[in-house]
Amino acid sequence: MLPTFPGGMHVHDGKELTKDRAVKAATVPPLVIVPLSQHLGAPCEAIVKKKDAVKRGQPVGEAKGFVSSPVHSPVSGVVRDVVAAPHASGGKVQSVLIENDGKDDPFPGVDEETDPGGLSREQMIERVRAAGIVGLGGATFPAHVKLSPPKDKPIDTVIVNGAECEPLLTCDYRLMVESSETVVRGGDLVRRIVGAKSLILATEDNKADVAELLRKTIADLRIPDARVMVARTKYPQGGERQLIQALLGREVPTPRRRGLPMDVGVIVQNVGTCHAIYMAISRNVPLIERLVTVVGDAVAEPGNFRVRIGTPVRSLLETTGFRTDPQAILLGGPMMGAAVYTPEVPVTKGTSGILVLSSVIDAEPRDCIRCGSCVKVCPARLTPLDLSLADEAKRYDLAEAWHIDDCIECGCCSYICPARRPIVQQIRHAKAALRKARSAAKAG
Amino acid sequence: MTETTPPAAAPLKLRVTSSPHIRTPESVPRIMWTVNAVLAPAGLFAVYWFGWRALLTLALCIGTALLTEWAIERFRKVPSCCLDGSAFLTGLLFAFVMPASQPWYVSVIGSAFAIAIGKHAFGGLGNNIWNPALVARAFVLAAWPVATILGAAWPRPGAEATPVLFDLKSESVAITAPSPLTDPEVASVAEWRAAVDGNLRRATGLPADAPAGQVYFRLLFGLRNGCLGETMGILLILGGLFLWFKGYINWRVPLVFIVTTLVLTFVLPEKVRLAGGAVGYTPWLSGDPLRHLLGGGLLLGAFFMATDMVTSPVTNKGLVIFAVGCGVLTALIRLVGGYPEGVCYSIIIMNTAVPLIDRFSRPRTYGEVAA
Repeated sequence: MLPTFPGGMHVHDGKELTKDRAVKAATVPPLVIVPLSQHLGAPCEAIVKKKDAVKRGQPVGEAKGFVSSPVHSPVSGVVRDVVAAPHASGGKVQSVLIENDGKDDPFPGVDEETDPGGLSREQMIERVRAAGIVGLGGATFPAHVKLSPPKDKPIDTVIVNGAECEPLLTCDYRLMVESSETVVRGGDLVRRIVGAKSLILATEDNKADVAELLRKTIADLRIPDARVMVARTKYPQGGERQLIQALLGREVPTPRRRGLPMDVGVIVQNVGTCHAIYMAISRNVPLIERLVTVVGDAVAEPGNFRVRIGTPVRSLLETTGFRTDPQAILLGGPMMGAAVYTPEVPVTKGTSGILVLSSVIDAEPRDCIRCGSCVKVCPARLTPLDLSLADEAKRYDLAEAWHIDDCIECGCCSYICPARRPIVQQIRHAKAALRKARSAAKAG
Repeated sequence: MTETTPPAAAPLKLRVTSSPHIRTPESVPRIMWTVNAVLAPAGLFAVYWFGWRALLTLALCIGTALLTEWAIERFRKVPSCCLDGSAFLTGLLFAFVMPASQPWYVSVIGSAFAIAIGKHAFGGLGNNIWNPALVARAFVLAAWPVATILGAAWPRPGAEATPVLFDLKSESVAITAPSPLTDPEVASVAEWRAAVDGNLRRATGLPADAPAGQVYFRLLFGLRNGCLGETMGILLILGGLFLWFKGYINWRVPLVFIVTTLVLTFVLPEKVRLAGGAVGYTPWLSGDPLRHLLGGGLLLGAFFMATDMVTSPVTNKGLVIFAVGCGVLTALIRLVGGYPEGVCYSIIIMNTAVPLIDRFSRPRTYGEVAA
């Protein structure tokens, strides 16, 4: 029996569409849009201005506060402007627009090889921070914060998260196939930084071939105390709380009490993040590109691309072409991805996929028939039907009492609902109402 | 931006919808029609076994249910769900839990009651507290106690049980065979067992000296008197297993309900009606659970009524509590209560308890770890 977590569900993954498509470098566009907020935490402040010349890898936004992350120019060229530009979040975000001069001149120091063995823990964390690395699985939590647990929270295990449980996305898979060495070395560096004993490389059994490859890589590189674990394919296994439960049987304390994986001695980093951490520490490469899966029934040529951060989605879709008129473009996977209102939004650090769909779901919701499917699939073990009804009745107090804050918004409940109720949307709505009420209470 | 990136052929018209962007193919109509389809063989068997009266009862119940649903939805000005299979299912189940011989007006009034009072009075599908078909059964049993007595159609008294397919004469046959669960009145507790066994043979149309194996065989394959859809035990079991396989019912409910009933009907003493109005009790550990499993509506109730999504709890724990309650009440009503059959009332009573059960069987939230 392969390990897994309680709840969740199996969704047809559709990974066969792109899993064998090797990563291609996407066209670097003539204009890139670098939002100053691409991470969880405080937005950056621009440190360049109109008409400044910038080099590839040069910082253009400076982090404000510890939980924040700098941003860099992905190209060499000239700053056209610093303005509010369309962003995947739905609104506009202050962004640095850079005209690409096509020369790709590196900023001094970038691409310089360093032996990580000669670096202290603090030096490595500073390199990760300065490189602007955030969680590339989609959560975009600044990596250096995760790498700096307080002294009273000893870490024993580092999990490199290659579960990639979202259907249709294969960029993490391609990264493991094509760059298994840097992924493993990156995981090893994370382990060194947090002083953990064991290293686990985790994937799901729909990617069993990559597990073999990772095992071979571990053996070839002679990495001690490292092992590959294969979990039973299930969504949302890639959620760090779910993955920790699946692999180690440990339950991370609730976010209501500020529980984090480090409370159970674990740090989880996505495979892409590990790769980026390795590149930052040993080659001094800031996070200016990432792998993106472009797929969907409206895409003519789906595939995996190495994309410079700041590349407009439109530019990427010009490479892949349309098969039919798209009705929706999503950033991320089909379960948690966010629909965008314009293809002018740029690829950011958290963009793992671009889904182009020829149709959207138009389902008329009906009354809940209390079938209990949502309860069965909820990985947070909530009763989503009650939360949905509480939102309808505007009884946010009940939603709070029923632990709405523990919802990870994986969307299993909405997916499975035979009455087509937009449960997770209602939960988000109730959460927002609660946030508003709480800040009003604080202010008043 | 647009001046430096060549625009697409036409500006894209994008729609922004909330995640998730994919959905299960399952839907309420699909679930309801599947359950209807699963029950269809038992309904066909009833028409074969009880004759044209069964067909008439089925048609009246289902037709009235659909019509009532359509009319009330028009009246309430809500979107019509009359073809989503749920009203059809309510009509079908109401017919299944009633004698095929019941008068036409009982079919019509009962079925209309199920939809109007049992369902729409509470706000429509999903908001009803009780299983609509069972509420209607409880109502018509109270309103027409004589007309709804089992056995008015089949079989002819003492005769070898032959199907009465299209036997128009059977309508005129008066009250005849007992239900397999009928409590006989006896002179002393010692005679009770023999009286029950004789009763079972009459209910299955067998001669008084037929071996027990034959009796249970006929019970399992529906060759007995009973409510319209409850007799063919084997079809109900297979149908229930199919629904479990499809994920439409939770196996805990039928299993726990049935096992609880069987254990209790074996263990507990049964009340015996003695001549002259006195009451006696059979000894402990002497019951006949097979008679209780196959002789009444337990299989239909456990697989198709107690599992109704709307009127049962939502968590596994809650469902087990609910099913235990159904089993205990069924056994108590049958053994010591005033009715030979207890499935209907036990489920209705437990339906009432569902909000309470749900409240106290909430799952432990992930990360809610003992400090």
